[in-house]
Amino acid sequence: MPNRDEFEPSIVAFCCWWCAYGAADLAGMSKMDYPTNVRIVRVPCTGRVDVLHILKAFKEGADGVIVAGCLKDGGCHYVDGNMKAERRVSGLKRSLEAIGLGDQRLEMYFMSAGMPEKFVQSVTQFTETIRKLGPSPLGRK
Amino acid sequence: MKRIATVSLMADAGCHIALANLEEKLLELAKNVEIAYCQILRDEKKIPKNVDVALVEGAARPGHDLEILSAVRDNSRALVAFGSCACFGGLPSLCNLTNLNELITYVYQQTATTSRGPIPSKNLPLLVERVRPIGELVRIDYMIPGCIPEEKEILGVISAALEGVPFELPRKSVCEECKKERKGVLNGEIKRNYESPRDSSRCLLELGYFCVGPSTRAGCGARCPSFNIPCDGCRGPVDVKWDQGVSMLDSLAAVAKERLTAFSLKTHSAIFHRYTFASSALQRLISNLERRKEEM
Amino acid sequence: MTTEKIEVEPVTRVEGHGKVTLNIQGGKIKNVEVNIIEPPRFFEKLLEGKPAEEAPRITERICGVCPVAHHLASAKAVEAAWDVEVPETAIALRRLLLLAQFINSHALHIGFLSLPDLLRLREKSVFGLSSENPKLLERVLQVHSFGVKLTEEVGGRTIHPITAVPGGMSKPFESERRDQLLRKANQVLESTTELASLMLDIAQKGGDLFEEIESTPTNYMSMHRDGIHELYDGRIRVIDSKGNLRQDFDPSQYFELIEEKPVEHSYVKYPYLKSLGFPQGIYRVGPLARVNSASISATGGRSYVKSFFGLFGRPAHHPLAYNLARAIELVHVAQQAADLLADDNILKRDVRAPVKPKKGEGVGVVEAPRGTLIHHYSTDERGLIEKANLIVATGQNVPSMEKEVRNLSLRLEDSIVDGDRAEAIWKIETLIRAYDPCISCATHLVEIKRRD
Repeated sequence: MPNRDEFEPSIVAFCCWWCAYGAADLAGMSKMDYPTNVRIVRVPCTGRVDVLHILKAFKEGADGVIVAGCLKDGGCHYVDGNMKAERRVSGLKRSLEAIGLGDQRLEMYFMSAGMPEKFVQSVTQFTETIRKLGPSPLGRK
Repeated sequence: MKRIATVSLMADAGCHIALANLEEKLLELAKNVEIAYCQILRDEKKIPKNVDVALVEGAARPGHDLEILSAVRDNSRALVAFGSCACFGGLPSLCNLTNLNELITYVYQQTATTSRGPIPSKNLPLLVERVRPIGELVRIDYMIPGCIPEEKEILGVISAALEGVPFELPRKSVCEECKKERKGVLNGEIKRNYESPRDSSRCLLELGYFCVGPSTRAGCGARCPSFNIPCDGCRGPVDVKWDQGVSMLDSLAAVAKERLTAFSLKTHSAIFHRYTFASSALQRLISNLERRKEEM
Repeated sequence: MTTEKIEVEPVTRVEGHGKVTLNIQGGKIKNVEVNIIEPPRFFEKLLEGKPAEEAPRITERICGVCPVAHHLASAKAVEAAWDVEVPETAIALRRLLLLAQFINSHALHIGFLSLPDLLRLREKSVFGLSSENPKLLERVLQVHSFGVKLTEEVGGRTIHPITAVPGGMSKPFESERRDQLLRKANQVLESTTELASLMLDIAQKGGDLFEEIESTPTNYMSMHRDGIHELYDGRIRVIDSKGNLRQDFDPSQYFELIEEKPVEHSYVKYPYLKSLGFPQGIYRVGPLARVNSASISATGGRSYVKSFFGLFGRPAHHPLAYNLARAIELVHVAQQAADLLADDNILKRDVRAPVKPKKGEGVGVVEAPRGTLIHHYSTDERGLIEKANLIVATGQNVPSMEKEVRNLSLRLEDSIVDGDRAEAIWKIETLIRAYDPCISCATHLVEIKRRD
C-alpha cells in the first residue's frame, strides 16, 4: 500500500479519436509536458464509452478516470456522441459518490484537436486532484 | 422414486406459493416424484439426503443461509435457483446499498476532516450483511428467473432437472413479446410512472416511461405492459452476462434530453436494478470496497 | 440437573420460517419462546429515496402470500400523502382484488395447512388430503383456483399484482374477463359453504386438541364500516375481551394509539394499545378479530356466526376458533366477490385520476387475510419516500400466540419431557398454524437438538 507522499495516481483517459486524442497527439509533438500518470484509451467517439467501461477501469485499479471529447455545441464528429457521454458521466458521478468512491474521481473534458493546451491543463489539473484525494479505496490489483 | 426438495432462504415465499398454485399439476407431480422436503406444505424438518432435484428460493445472507445452502448442495444431484432472488439477489438486495450508505454516513460523521477523500478503514467494523445470489456461494445447475417464475418454466425446469437435460431460457427481451405499438422514435422525455399514459396502445418506453423491457428477459408475454404498467425487470437480464441496470441506464442516458443527475443511486437503483442489484457491476465495486476495508 | 434445549425448527406448514424454543431443566419446562423475525424492518429502510409511485410494486414483495394487501395499503398511503381522490370504479376494482386475495389465501390455509391437522390425516399435507379425501380437495382447489384467477384478472398477475397505481387502477376491467369469472362464481359459493360446514362440524366434535389448548382472552382489533365487516376502507375498532368497545379511530391515527415494546428473546417488538399499557393492551387481529368485532352482513357467512359464538363464546378467544372464523369469512368474501362481479359498475372506464407528487405524509390501511396492515409514508416535494413505517398483521398476534404456546407446553409438560414428544410438538404447531402466521425469516438446518 503506497504511502501518501509517494503516491503516484494511475489515471485512465478515454479520448475520442477526432478531438481529444488529436489534442494529446499535438501536445506530444509540441513537446508540451503532461503527467505520465495518464494512460490513454482511444475510442472513435466518447459516445462509445459505456458506463461499464468506466466501472471496469475503477475495478482494475484506476485512481481516476477522464473522458475527453469534442467541444459541445456541434463539435462532435458524430453529431452528439459527446453529449451522450456527458449525460452518462454526470449520472455516474452521483452513483460513484453513493457507493463511496466520491464524485471527483471521474471527470469529462471538452476540447478540439487544435487545443493541446486544453488537454495538458485538464490532465495535469485532474492528476493533482487525484494526488490530493489519495489512492482509490478500491486499491490496486 | 425420484426425490425433490424445496427450500426457502431469504424470501417472501412467493415462489413457493407459485408452486402451490400449480394445484392439480403439483398433485400430478407428487404422484411420480417424492416431495421429500417442503417446509410450507409438509412436515419434514430435516433436509434429506439423496435428493435428485432441489429448488432453492430466496437470496442468501452470509452465515446461516450458507449452512443450509451447503447442506442442500451436498445432498442434491441438481440444484435449481428458483426465482429472481436466488438467481440475482432479488428486490431485497437493494438493501445492500442502504447499509453501505449508512456506513458511509457514520464514517463521514466520525472523521474530523472534510467529507472528501479515501474512506478511513482502521476502526470500522464491517456491519454490512450483504444479500447475495445463491450462485455466488454454491454451484447451481439450473436457474429460472422471475418474480415470480412462470408456471411453464417451473414445471419445465423440474422435468429437465429430473432427467438431467439442459433447460433453455428465452434469449430475447420482453420487447419482443410486447404488443404495444412501436414507432421507432423516442421522444427523449423522461416520465415517472405516476403519470398516466395518454395513449395506451403505444410503447411505454417511447412515451418516456422507465420501462426496462429492452434489458429484461422474455418469457412472461410482456404481461405488465399489457396492463399499461412499465416492465420493472423482474425476470433479470436477457443474458446472465449482461448488467441489466447499467445497460438500461446507459441507453437512457444516451437518449434522454435532460441529464439523469436528478436522481441518486438510491432512487434509480430501484428502477434499473430492482431485482438484480446484488449481481450488478455496482455491487461488485461495493464488494471490492468492503473487502479492501477489511484487509486494511 | 439436566438441561435440555428443544428447538422446533422450522415450524412447518406455515408461511415463512419460525421456531419454538423450549428450555427444560430438571424435568420441568423453564422457558418457552416463539422466535420470529419481523419482515418489514429492512423494507422500511429500503424504501427511502424511492419514488413513492413504485412503492406498491416494491412493498408487495414483503410477502408472496398476501401481496395484494401490501399493494393496496401502499397505494392508499401514497394517495393519502398526495391528496389523491380515487374514482369509484377503481375503488370497486380494488375491493374485488382484495376479496380475491382473501379467497385464495383462506382456501390455501384451510386445504393445504390446517385441514391435514384437523382431520388427523396420516400424511399431514395437501398430498395426504389428495389420497384420503380427493372430493374435499377438489372443493378446496375449486375455491383456491377461483381466487387465483380473479387476482390475475383484476390485478394483472397471480402473485405480485401491478394494477393498483396512485390515482386508481392502470386499466379498466374488461367484460369478457368478468363474464368468465361470474360463470364460475356460484359453484365456488357452494364449495365455500361446504368448507365452513366441515369446519363447524370439526369444532363441534372438539376433542383433546380443543380441550388442551387454553384460550387467552385478549382485545381484538379490526377495520369496520359502521360496525360491519370491512376490508378495504373504514375506521378501526378495538373491543376488549368482554366485547366492549374500547377504541374507534381513523386509520391515520394509528401511530398515536399503538406502541411497541421490545423483548429480549424475539426480533419483533410486541405491539400493544398505549391506553391500556403492556400486557393489558395486547390485542389480536385477523379472522378471529374481525368476526368478533364486526358483524358479518347478510350473506351465507351470517348463518354460521350464531353457531360460532355458541361454541366458543362471545367474543371467541380460543385460538382454534381462528380456523372456523376463517372459513366463515371465506363464505362471506366469496359472496361479496360474486356480488361485485355481477355489478356492471365495475366495467366503467374511468379508473385512473391524475396525480401530482408533493411533500406529504399518508397512512394506508387495509385488512390483510391475517389482520390489519398499515403502511405509513412521508414523501419529499419530488414525491420520493423520505421515511416509511410498516406494521404487518402477524407481528400483532405474536404476544398472544406465544402465551398460548407457553400454556400448552406446560399443559403437555409430561409428554414433552418424558413421553410422546412428537405428538405434543404437533399440537403446539397446530396451535401456531391456527393463526395462519405470515412470517419471513431464515431457516436453519433442522433437528431437535438435545443438549445434556
